[in-house]
Amino acid sequence: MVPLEYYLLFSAAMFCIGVFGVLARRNALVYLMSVELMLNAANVVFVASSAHYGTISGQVFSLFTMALAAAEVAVGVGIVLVAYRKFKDIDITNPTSMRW
Amino acid sequence: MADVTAAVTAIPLVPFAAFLVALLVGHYAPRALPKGGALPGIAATAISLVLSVWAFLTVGAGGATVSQVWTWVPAANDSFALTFGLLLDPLSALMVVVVSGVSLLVHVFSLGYMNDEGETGLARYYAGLGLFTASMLAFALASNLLQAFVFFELVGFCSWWLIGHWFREPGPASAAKKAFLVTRFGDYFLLVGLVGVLGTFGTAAFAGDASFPALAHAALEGEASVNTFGVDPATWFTILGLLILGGVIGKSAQFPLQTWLPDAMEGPTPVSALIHAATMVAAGVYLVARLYGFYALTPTALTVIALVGGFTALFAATMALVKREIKQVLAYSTISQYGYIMLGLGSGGYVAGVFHLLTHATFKALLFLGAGAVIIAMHHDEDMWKMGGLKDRMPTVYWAFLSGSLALAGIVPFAGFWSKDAVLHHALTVGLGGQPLVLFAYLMGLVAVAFTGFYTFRMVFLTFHGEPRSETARDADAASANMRVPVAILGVLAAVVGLVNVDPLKGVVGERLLFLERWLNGPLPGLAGATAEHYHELVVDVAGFHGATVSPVVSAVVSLVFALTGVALAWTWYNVPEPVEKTDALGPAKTVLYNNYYQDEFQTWLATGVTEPLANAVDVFDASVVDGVVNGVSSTSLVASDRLRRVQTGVVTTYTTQLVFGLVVLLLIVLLLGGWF
Amino acid sequence: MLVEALLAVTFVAAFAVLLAPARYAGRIAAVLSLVPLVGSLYAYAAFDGAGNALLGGTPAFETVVPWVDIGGYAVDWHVGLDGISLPLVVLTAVLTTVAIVAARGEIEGRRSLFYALLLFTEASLIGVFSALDFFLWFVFWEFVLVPMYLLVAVYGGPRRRYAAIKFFVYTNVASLVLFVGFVMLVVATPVESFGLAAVAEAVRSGAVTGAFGLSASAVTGVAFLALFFGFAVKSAFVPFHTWLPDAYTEAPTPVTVLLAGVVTKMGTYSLLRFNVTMFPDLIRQWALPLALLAVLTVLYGSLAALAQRDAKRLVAYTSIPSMGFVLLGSVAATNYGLAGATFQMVSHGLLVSVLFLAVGYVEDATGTRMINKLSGLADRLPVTAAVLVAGAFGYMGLPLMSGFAGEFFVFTGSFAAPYPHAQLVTAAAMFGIVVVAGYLLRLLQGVLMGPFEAPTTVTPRSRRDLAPAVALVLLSIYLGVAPGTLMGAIQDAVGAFVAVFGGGL
Repeated sequence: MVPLEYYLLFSAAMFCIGVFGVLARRNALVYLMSVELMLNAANVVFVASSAHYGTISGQVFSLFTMALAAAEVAVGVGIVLVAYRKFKDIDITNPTSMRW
Repeated sequence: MADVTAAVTAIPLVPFAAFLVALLVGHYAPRALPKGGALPGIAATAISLVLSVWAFLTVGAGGATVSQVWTWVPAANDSFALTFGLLLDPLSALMVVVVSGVSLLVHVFSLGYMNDEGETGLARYYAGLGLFTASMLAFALASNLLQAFVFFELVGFCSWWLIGHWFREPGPASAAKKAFLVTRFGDYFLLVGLVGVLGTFGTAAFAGDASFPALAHAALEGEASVNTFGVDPATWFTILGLLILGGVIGKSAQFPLQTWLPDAMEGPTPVSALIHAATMVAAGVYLVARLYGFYALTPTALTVIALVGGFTALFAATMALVKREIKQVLAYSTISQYGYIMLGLGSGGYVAGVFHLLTHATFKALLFLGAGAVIIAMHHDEDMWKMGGLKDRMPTVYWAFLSGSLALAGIVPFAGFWSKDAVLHHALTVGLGGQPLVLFAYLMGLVAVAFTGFYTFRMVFLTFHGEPRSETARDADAASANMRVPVAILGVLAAVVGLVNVDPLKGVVGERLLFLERWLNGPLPGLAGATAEHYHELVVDVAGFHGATVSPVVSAVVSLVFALTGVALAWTWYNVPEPVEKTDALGPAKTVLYNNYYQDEFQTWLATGVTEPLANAVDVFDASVVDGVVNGVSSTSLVASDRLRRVQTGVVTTYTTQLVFGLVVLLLIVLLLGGWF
Repeated sequence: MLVEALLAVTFVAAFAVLLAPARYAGRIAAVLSLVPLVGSLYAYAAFDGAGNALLGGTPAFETVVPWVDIGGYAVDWHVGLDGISLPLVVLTAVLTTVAIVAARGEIEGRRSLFYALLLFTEASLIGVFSALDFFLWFVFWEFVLVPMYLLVAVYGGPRRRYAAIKFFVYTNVASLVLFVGFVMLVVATPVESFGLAAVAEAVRSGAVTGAFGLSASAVTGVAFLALFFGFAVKSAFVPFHTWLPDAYTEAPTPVTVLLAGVVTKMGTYSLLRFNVTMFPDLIRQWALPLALLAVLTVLYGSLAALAQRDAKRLVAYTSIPSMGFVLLGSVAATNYGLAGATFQMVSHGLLVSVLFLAVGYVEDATGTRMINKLSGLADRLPVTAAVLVAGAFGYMGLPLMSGFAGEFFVFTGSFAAPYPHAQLVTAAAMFGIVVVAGYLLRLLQGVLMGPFEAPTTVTPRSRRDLAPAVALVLLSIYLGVAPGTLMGAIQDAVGAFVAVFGGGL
């Protein structure tokens, strides 16, 4: 049995990689993948805790997260396509009108 | 007595109906209005005159009465009601006869002065006259101070209306404003006094046992208690009396609020005769007479009245000495004569004051109407130095005017002699009886007698005697009949009306011939507090004005000598074919007099030099400081938000960075508070 | 049920007019506004209330229906009219009809919305004056704000956006403060409903306890000040008045009529209903400073008006001293003071409307309202001139018009007020009548007298257009000659105050 701490450390590392990607990468697809990484880091914690505490609810939550991630990717890729049409590029620093 | 009440109520209501007719018919069907509204006005004032005479006779037959006509506000919550009523007593009966009589004559005169001259706006003019007559009659009949104030203000409004009749000219427009504003300033004090009377006594009734003069008397005697707001009753009543006096001084054009009256001469001359000589200006002193039971309680107020009167009599007379325009001379003489009435009332001479009020209304209306006829003949040129020799052109007017001038100058046996000497005699006796201030007022009044004689006959000689000094004067037409008739009637009256009270001959002819004094003395069943006898008792017992014994004949001879001196001087200087301006010898003093001691300048300065800058300062303060704070709050928040919104760049990565930064800060806070470090 | 019927009819009329075609909206609105007018006149005729609605009296047309329950406090649908609110409801109905008729030819676009908003305002105002429950009252109070903002912001003059936002922010801040103040008071008082009568009874009987770390007296003091601030802004007492000249001047004439005629009265009416009714002790204690504020309002407002060159702005400033007189009468807490304050509200509503209508006519006829550009209109526009003269002199306090009656009652009541130096304070405030006469006479002289040299050709309005102003003048004269017709009911409602304050004139 792998102790819970390992899972948590693994999840934290995954999350940090995701955060780094979100902050540093300009390619919209990599950006979306980084978001996926963060979501899955959370999933890891859910599933690991579920096993650790012997309850099922963590695994149920992870399923919800997956559904959410799928929806998010659908919307995200849609936005990426629109951005590509407009800018002929998928650099996310191009759209700057999302403000007042 | 219901029929008396109804008939007396009709006295003001009939001219009011004429006002409505002139106003409504004049607007909707001007052609249907006979003589531009003059005929309804004449009919209405004639009816009022008949009713007034009838009321006068009723009072003579012992029908003096006070009745309530209209409840303005009902009483509630332990408070008092406010009502309108009628007080029909010798004084008010006399006044309504004078008012409706003069008004009738002025309406007739206006036919010649306004209609025949082809003036426009006749309906407006006659509507104003009608409303004025109605208000003035209602004022005279008022049974309490509130009602008196109501109609006091309404006559002021009519005065504004009629002075500004020729509204196209800048003069009348400004004069109308000034007249209303200056009298309003006085009325402010009257209103404070009225509110004070209501607060003190809970009633403003003039006559009866529950009237405020009666209550004040009882309070001074310690028989009743009233709310004097923590002030000693005698002092408080003096304060109230002086506050009410403010309105009197404004309306009767006494110093220092007299400046509006000469300007008011910008109005049509019949208006000057009716409003600014015989009636509205009389409203002020009439109010003092009406409140005599109250004023007689406070020697201080009486002395102030006497001093104001004596000073105004002299002060205005000096200014009349040098005027060029005939109406200006008359205006200043009006101010001066009302000063005499004030002097009479202030020195305790109720009968003398009322007597002079009566005679002055007669001869001053006459002089104004005569001047109006002259002005028409001169085609609205009022400069006396361009007149001369008019006596051959308009003999009727001349003789009537002469009668009025003799009355004004106080030459025996014309009206003014009897009444003015009654006033001066009274002031002299009281002054010698231990009231030095009243004696001082008397001396000012006595000097003014000489001035009066001088300026009156300067006016007569310059206007009617000598050679014509201009083309217009040479070709002047005689006055038309509708101007001559009123002037002639008043001319006769001015000669004889003084005989109703031959006061200086008191010791010679006996009390029986002093009709006016007997008339005012009563007795009045039920209204004992409104008789001259009662007032005299109060003046002696409460105010402590004791009269020294001076023979009335001596006093009369003294003032007659003064008057004749003035007349003689005018005779030698101006009754010559080619008079010159002798008053030029006064040098700079004449300039001061001609400019009315620069009082107008002072008041204009008060308005434009003090009030307007203050108003502008308030406006600037309002826009910069008060509104500045408001706008400052608004612009501060706008600027701040404009700065703050620049945080949002529109780049997704910036937002992500901010999110992560926020998350890290939150984590640190949680961890710090959780004690992990 | 009469009040409900009035409210329902007026709200429905507002929506009906909103849907009506623009061409006919004015006529339909005028006809529909007659319904609440007749209804309010019927209410006046059939009025059977007695006493003060908040002080144990029985209001007329009263209905109480339990509505909702908020945190243990009952909120009822509670409406009714007494001698203080009834005249104001009638005034609202009269002035709305006047405003709708006066809007003919005045409004260019979006007419349906304009008339609908006027009717919506009327309904909300009737609600404010008839509500006897705090929440209901507050809902209507806020309702008034929305149409008023739109009417100024959409239909106003060149600076309409500034004026509208200023008005909105000012009154909204005021609403917030008074709401917080009142809720704080209710929380600190052991009552179980927001009914105004219940709260008033509890507060007056000294049932307020300490709360929020404040002592009982501090709670009442803060609540009093918060409420007073809210109403002072609405009534435009100096120094909270600067929204007023901008809003009045920028709003189109019909809106100004409602704004000046009735909306400011909400403040003074509520001042009577809340501060005077609920805190008699504090009113007595703070009468002198409040009366001095009234004097400041009167004199400052008069002087500021004296400096104005724009006729409409001048008339706007003229409203400020009149509201000062209402405050003076209210804090005097005597029969004539309180009754006079109520009477003065009605009278001022009539006369200020006359003046605004007359200035509007002059502006329509000549294209300007700058006094120094106008001259000699007296015989070119005779009826307008007559209306202007009547309005101005009525405003100056010409007797036998309602203005004199209102001011005179206030002065009479205030002179005998029990606070120290009441006589001097009253006399100082009364000096306002001289300054008022000064600038209104100058207005008359400038506009009506002198040579005729208006900038463009003068086109007089038809008699039908002038009818509302003439009707208001006649109404004012009627009230001036027979103020007893209103004063009977008002004094009846004021009696309970007088009993609370322990007598007086």
